[in-house]
Amino acid sequence: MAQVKKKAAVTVWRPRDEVQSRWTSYASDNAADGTVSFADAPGGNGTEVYLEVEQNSIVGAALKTIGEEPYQRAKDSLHRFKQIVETGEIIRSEASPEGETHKRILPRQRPAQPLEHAEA
Amino acid sequence: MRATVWSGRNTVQVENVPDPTILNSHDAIVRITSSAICGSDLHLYDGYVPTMKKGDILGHEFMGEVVEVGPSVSKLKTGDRVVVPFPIACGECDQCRRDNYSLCENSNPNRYLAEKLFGHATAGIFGYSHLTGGYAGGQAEYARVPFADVGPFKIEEELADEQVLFLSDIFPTGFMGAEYAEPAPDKVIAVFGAGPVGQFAVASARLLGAERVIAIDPEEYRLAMARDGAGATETINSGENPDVVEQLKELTGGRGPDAVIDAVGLEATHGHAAIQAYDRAKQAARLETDRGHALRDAILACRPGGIVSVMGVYGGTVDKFPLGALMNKGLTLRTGQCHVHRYLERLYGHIVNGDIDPSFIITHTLDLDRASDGYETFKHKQDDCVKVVLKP
Repeated sequence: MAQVKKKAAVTVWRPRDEVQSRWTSYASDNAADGTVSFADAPGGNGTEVYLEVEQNSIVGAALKTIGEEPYQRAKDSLHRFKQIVETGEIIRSEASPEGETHKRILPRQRPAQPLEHAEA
Repeated sequence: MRATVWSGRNTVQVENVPDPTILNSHDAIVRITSSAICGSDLHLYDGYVPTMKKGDILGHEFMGEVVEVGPSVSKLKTGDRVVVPFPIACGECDQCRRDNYSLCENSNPNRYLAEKLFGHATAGIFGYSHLTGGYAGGQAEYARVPFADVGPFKIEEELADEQVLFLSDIFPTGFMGAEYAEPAPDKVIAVFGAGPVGQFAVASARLLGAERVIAIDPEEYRLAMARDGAGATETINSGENPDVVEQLKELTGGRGPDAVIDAVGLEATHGHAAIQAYDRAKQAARLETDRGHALRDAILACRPGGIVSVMGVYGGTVDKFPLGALMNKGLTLRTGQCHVHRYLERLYGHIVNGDIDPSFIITHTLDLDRASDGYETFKHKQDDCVKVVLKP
């Protein structure tokens, strides 16, 4: 069975030293499996963040259908990190109240109406 | 609270749902005083936009009074009267900092759904399917508004809701369409579609200095509004004579308009029965998702070297797109969901100065409980309907 490497990427519009520092604390609090690397974005005012994962191609394809593929989780990790650094928190919607995650595949989405108080 | 929810194709219902709560620290809760049905809501109603779920609250044109703010909100306080832009924007990402608010990189938690269709996600939008985040909309008594320091625009003058409500979407949308067309006294602008966005595109082109603006629509009552309310200098009834390209050449010394604005979008109708039937059939067979008649005619009509400004909403693919005409005539295509926040201060100034009273487009005002009637009236253009406002 083939192992493949996939690299998720996001650009965070903050200087590199800040991004690297924030990633260290983010990764220690959140499951962010993979090998992280950083690069300067063009123009020098942003930082590219890469998270490389290795996955079994067949298992990965099966997990992808429920949003649990390692590559999908890597993308979720990076985009949630970007939101925290740029806006201070992970944006929530009524349909996806835990914020961005591939696991909220369409059949699992809530209707786009307010949560009950207990759910919020 | 009561809210208009999507219940399946061609069905909306007003139901009791939970009141909104603060979910993010930058949220505000707005008690809605006025809301409107948008032409793009009809794409949801008619079932052309995927990822709708029964129970989704509709509505992205709304305003009201702030009744609660989250702990990180500093620019709004309870009691403030605000109009809320339809795109949800964080204000901090690269796109927002470039004033491209409808392209916000952070506000759509359903990124992966949008990426499948568009290659990238764009901003979250109130009440506009799970593709744009699955946010509850504003055809309701209350709405939760994320990034409340970025979006909501305070109304501090004594103006009626009807005069400012359309700052939420259609006035800036028409204005951006006109701005993209680069109007000038020596340019002729043609606006395809005299619905609400088309009306504001006409009015905005005049505000921006155009001396000739031609409005095109199959409905005579909408053309009358374009002439009398929006300032169109000429009109073409495409229902009476569908050969719009030839009529536009006739009106412009054979040149064609210097810029064309598509204010029609994916549910275009065409006066030639065969063309209309072709696109309806392809949609039914799911071989195309959007009807591109208006856009095709706009591209064919545009003077070589001119600008095609597309503000009509499209979601998927069109058949027989005249790419050859676009390329060989050297046309510039400019388009996008409106970056509403970019225009609010300027357009509010026009309203306060008396340059325009946007309420001219309102033809129907209904209680929120009659939202279903409102959708049907709007969809079928009954009773000379142009714009429906809902009052919770």
